[in-house]
Amino acid sequence: MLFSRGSKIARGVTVLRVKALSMDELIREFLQESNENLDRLDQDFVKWEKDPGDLELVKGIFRAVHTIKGTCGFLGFVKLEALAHAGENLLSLLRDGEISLNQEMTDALLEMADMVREYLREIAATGAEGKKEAAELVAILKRLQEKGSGKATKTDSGATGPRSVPDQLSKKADIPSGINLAGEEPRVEVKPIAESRTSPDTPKTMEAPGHPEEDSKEKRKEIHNEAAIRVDVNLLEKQMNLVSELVLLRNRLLQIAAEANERNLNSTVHGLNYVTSELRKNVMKTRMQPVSQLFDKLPRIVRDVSKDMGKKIRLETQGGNTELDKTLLEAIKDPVTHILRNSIDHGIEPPEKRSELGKPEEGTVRIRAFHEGGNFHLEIFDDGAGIDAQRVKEKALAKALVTETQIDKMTESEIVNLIFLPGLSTAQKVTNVSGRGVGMDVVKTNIDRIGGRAKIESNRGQGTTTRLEIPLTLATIPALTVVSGTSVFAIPQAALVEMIGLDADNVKSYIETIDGTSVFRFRGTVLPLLDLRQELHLKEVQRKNAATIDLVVVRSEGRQIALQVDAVRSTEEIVIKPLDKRFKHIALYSGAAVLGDGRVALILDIAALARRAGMAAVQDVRNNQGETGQKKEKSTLLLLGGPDGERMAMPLDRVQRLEEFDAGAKEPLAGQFVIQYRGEILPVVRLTSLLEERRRTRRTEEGLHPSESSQKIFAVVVKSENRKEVIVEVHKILGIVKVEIEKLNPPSRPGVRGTLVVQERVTELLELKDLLAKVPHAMAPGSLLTVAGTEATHGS
Amino acid sequence: MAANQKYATFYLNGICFGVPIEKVQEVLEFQEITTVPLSPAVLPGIINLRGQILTTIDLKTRLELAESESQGPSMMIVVRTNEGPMNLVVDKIGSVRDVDPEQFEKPTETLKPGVRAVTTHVCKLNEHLLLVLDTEKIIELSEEQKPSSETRLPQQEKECRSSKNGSLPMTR
Repeated sequence: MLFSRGSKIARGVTVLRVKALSMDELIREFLQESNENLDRLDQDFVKWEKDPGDLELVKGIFRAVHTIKGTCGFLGFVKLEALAHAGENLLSLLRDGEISLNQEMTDALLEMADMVREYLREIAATGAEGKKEAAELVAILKRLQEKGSGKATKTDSGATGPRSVPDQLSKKADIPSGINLAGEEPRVEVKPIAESRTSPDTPKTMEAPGHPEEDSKEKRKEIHNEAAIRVDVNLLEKQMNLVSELVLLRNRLLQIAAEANERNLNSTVHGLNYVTSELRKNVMKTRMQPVSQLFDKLPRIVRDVSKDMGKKIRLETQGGNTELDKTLLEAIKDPVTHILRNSIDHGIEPPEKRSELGKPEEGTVRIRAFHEGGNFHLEIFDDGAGIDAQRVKEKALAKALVTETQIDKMTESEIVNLIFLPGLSTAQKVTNVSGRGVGMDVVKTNIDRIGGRAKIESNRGQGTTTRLEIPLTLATIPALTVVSGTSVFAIPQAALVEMIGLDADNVKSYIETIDGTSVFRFRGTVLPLLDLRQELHLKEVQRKNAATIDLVVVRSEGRQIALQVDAVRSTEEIVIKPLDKRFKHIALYSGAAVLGDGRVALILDIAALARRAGMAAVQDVRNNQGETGQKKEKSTLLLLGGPDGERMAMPLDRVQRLEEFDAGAKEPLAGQFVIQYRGEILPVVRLTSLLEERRRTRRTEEGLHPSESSQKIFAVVVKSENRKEVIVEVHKILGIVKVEIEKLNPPSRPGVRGTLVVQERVTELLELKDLLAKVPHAMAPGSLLTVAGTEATHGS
Repeated sequence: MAANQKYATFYLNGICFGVPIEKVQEVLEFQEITTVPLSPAVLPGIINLRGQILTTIDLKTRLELAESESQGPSMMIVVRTNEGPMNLVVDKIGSVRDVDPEQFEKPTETLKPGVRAVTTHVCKLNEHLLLVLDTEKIIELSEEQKPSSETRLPQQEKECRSSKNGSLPMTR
């Protein structure tokens, strides 16, 4: 806001600097200025439409268009110049009072603004105007000019017959204008809330026309423009970094002063402490922008959408001077726009229906921004129909996004919040504006990405409130610091699920390790367990307390993994600093951070870590919960490797435990092998002997190797059909994957349900039922014959 | 006649090296390096220089010199490069030498390839030779020192290891 108001003066600067600037820089500045001007135009047009008598507003609009025309003429953008020129001419007549504004003119002028914006985009992308022609719009602007000056009248609004704005033009503009022909014109009112008396406690909201104090303030701003300067964002960034350093130095100095306990030093350090804190606050502030920058763009959207839908909407904004980090403000722009459109499109009822319901014909959308609990909050309220929880429920069930048992346990508010799931739209019909089933989930994703939260509250018949909670800044993020080996690592809080300390007694029942692959049983699910030290090849350092194990459960891209660390340190606010590109290939760190004590911590990239550990991507955990209702079967598989590198998998739900035995644990008994296991004697069978082999010769050769007692046996304890446990000896355990089994290819051999591709490798999915049928249940004599018999069948 | 050039000198395994003085930002006592796991030996890690994270290059490894024969703690030289400041680990700091360009000679063939690749010229000083290094070339790691992501996958190593002891004895 601050800057766009000063655009006129800024242009003066541009002209003065022409000689010093290259063409590229000139164009860049032109684009930036023009975009700012256009943003302002949008809102000014809407205000003007409401109050056509406001001459100051017209003058402002005229100046903005004039500026664009002048500069692009200078830069040689001919088409753009012609377009702006036509607009300017119409505006000059309006300004001089020779003609008066009507709906048609506003439409055409807004279309002009959109068109100019398109040209600017093209210029930004290619450096040239492109092929787009604006001749038709220019003709319309000219015609309006002539007609207007011919019969200046205030009453011909919308009554000039079919609009001649070509379809093609309308399509290009985001929302087609000119659809709403004769008939009731939608009305958009933008009122500062201070005026509307509904909440007298708010000091200032939006600049509104006819607000005398505001207007004079704006004028003053333009005159005293020297008070504001444009600053390169990079420069601010650098400043922010320097201040962070200063804060660290101060922290250390505070420590030293406390130790030295000298009066003079202490008081000086305290002074420094205060100044540093203030400085930090102020520098942080420079990145903060008032949310009014976003609010200012909304009236135009409300106007266009409500016009499209034939609805009457009043937009109220509150707390426009609440500040938010520049990048975050940019990030919430799309979500907020989307929610707003949703509110107008399916929230607020058509005027007729509203009067039937005894509501005022004009719907209200109220947007409120405020700070609370160190976060930025934004509420978008509409007094429309609210969300039909029943319909959300039906939709969610129909699309199998949740199961019936799940939904029965949900509260109404939880059901309403299901609309954040992808693929859910309750709109009865799909409109141009919303209802395509994409949208609210995108809102959620975007808000999640910046570490915020989105929530919906709805009262049937009363309206809907969407609440967004956004952290104030991304400059620092909360992170958990952990120790592994001698190094400290930071895990962003956003990726953190839970921290778990296991003592010696629990370790055995929660963690199973075999052949370097570990899993952790976590609330009924089995999570892959990675030892950070092992993953990062850290040097062995004696773990302080070998008996207990510290685990950090983290999530990324919908999967959860458990990380074993040596110790959990603390939570800290950290400033993310990029790592040298020379470390990029390692791809396990998203940056580095200087901690409060001056140590440097690498920030772990959880997604990369999980990927690196060779795990297949898992679909959203959220979806897993609703497995039963889904057509596709999603299974957790235990991946096994065969002696020739072939891959096999078995469903994890049939697996009781993974074990590692000494070869000596295998004892011969009655012609077969058994292992004493948890007080029971269980039969041991080799997976390979259960499976029919195609290359029998080779396997027999292998079988001739003398058995070495030093060898370990990797085994999977499975339950057979008759609930008896069987130990299946396997060659290698590779890990656990979650996969969606869409279709199985035909089985490669008996005992195999089919083949599928897991982690880009062809994998046999074992049919445990068939395999285990070959295992002797009772340890009766002759059971070895069964196994041997299996192999014999192959030969025949 | 060209003006004399000033070089900051330092030692690696007793050999005297130098970089143009204007390339040197500062000299540091050895401080703790935060190791970056899985990075190659030439890049032992990063340091915190007044809040700024600097990449550290082990110059001896970079120049393919033999492992340390130096006594006492190493020193660090922060050099200015096109990519910003970089931290070099050296054995010992020398002094600032004024060198007449007339004394410059091309790097001799006898230099080890690792050293020769980054040496711009050699100066015969009274007491010994001074090898002048190109800081931009130093930070451009040579091919074999560039870590390849392929060889360092822990998963792959894991598989290698398990296949070693993977040939299980047969049941029969």
